[in-house]
Amino acid sequence: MTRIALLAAAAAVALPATAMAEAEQLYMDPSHTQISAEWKHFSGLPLQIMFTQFDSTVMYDAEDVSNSSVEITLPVEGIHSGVAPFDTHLKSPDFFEAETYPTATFTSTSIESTGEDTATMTGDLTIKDVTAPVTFDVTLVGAGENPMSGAALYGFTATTTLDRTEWGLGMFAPAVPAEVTLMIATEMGPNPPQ
Amino acid sequence: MTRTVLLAAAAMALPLAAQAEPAAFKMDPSHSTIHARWTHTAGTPLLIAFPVYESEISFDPDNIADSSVTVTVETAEAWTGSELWDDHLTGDERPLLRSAEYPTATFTSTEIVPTGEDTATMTGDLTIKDMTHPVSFDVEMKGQAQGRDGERIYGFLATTTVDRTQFGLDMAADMMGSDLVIEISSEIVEQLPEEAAAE
Repeated sequence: MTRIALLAAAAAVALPATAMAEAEQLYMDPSHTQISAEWKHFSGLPLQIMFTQFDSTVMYDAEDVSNSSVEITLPVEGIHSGVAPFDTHLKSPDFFEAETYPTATFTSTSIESTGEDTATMTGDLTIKDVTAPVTFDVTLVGAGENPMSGAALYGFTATTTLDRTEWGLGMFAPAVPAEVTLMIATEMGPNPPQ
Repeated sequence: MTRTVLLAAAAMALPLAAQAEPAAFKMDPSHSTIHARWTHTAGTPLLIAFPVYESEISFDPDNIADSSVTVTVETAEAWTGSELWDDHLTGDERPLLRSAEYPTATFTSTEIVPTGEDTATMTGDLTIKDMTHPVSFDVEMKGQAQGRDGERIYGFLATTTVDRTQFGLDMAADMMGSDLVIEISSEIVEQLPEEAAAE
């Protein structure tokens, strides 16, 4: 993903880390990050929940994206659907079993560039007591400047489709399809959020 | 969730629809979402979710044009998953929706025109912050099912793009653009006479 280096130059944003050709830490901005899981209900209708809490460690090498790494922790407590009884059901032993497994995690194992602004990110997704690999399609959707601080801003989306039964989240499948699309939409910058 | 499922083709024509007149439906709040989506500064797609507060639907699958939809949301219930952003929307500092002054937003259809077997265009009045403008949704029927008491259930997806500045939602429009995509994803459930009486 060498385009990001050109964009940074065009935006006249100083990124000392890229000059050193090594990974710099980026921080996902909590007020401009949404992590959602979408699936189809048995009417064929898409429905969605969000993971509203997260911790992340992102190391990004703009010159060699394969030298980057991502680790995201999702507290199950942060699951939000907008329907309170559904949130409770999801956190119960029928699904995420929050009392025993308070967090879900994703740890990248390899990131490969697939184009100027795209990459695939493979890693281990751990939910409850199951760890299995997933692969995200990652897109750099834009770069700019934080209007307040002038620091660089990178917009990313990362999407993967998985079978929830693999992680013991199979209740109501296949009447309610087991396929779930997990999407991360995030703005990241070099400064930790206030 | 013990509804029996009647898997059917996505065609609008239903073997169950014996009478050719509109029936009363409501959006099931636990299987409906309303999302307002936009693109943020660095191209990031973000959304605000609005739970369905009230809905009144009159639907005739054999005569789509004879149908009508009204849906209301409580603006104070809007959420983004980020408390900071939720405050921006509805709080006292730099509020966007100003929910204390404008507690609800509503869409009322004025015309529904079928455009295909499972699709239609739904035009109507959208009111946000007491400003009303006509909008046109592209509607698609995603599927159908049958409830425990034989009530018909349809899944609909309706999408429109509005200019948010028309509704007084100008924040940073010059930086991010003013397109706001409104997407209603809803299971509508037939209100059988006994249920209607119980309400």
